[in-house]
Amino acid sequence: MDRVLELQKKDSSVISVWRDVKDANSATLLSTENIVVSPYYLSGETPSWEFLPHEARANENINTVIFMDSIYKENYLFSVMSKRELTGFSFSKISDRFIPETSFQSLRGEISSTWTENFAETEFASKFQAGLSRVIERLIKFSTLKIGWDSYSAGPIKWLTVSRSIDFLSKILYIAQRENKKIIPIPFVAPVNDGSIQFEWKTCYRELIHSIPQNDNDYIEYLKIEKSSLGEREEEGFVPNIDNLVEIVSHWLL
Amino acid sequence: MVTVTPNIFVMCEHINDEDILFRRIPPWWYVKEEDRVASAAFKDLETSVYWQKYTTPSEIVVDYKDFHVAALQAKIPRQESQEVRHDPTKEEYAHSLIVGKKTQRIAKVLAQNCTFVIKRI
Repeated sequence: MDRVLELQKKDSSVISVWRDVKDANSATLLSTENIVVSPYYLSGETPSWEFLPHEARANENINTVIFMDSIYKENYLFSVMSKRELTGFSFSKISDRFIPETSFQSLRGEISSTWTENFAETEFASKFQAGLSRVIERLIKFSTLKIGWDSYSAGPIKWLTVSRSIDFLSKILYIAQRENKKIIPIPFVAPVNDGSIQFEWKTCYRELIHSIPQNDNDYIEYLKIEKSSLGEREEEGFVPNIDNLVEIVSHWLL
Repeated sequence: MVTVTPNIFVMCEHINDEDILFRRIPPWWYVKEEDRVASAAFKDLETSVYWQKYTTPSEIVVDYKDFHVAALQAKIPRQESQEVRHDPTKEEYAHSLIVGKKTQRIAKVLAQNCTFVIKRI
């Protein structure tokens, strides 16, 4: 791992980009730290200069997304920053970041998009994370339910079941962001008197209902519903584990 | 002195298809955004309900101030191969059961066909 470059922002704070030296023609963001200067690699050369922001176009009113264009000689670096964190960047020999061929890489892996898609992704991911936070808060409360919480004979919801549900949601979020999904529904979650947790997902034309069982070894039952002008089409099934369930959610709803 | 305790035989009555059953709905099972009952409310093998013939919605939540009450016609679970039977208890003569394995689809159908008769704000 080699430190690729530093960005000196106008407020004097610094962010750095690291690069895997095995690939001289690409820069994969591996970490960000506020460290001082280091040389920038391009085509195997080791110059002693550093990139400095040529111009920062700050859209502070919109989720504090900042686009920074940095330049040194004929090398350009386009950066997307959201809430002071680098979320995407692109190295280029061309000065115009508006051209479709400008490929941005994100913190979560490589993606290809224009700068406008970076902006939408940042804003959208923030909104989804806010909605998901409320779901997670609700899930955590399930672990405090006492015996008979349903006024009948319901048992408590174990913390392990809650934890697995949160882990399941994290995997969905990761896939959604990795694949740059624009529509991500927020599920309704409810405790079930057998100790499981029920999830109900809805989009405009599709629904998915499933549970996260109390026992890790139990099969997971699901119901997929598709709505159209011809009516509703349903499909019931079982999957053996949460990873299989994640695949169903990502393929059916995202 | 001999004390004789009589066996009390409780006659279970037949619930007609048109009869209404009440189900207590805790706050967790209320989908506020869509104003409906969650399918989680109908996932157990023996689902406790109360027969309208012998009780009222207010009576079944007298000790549960934050619970809602949903009503469901007996024919709905029977259409989904569930048994609906009167199951009176010592405390509650109106007590009844919806018995049968409830798949996600069946639970959704039962929840969809509920209407609120008491809804807490």
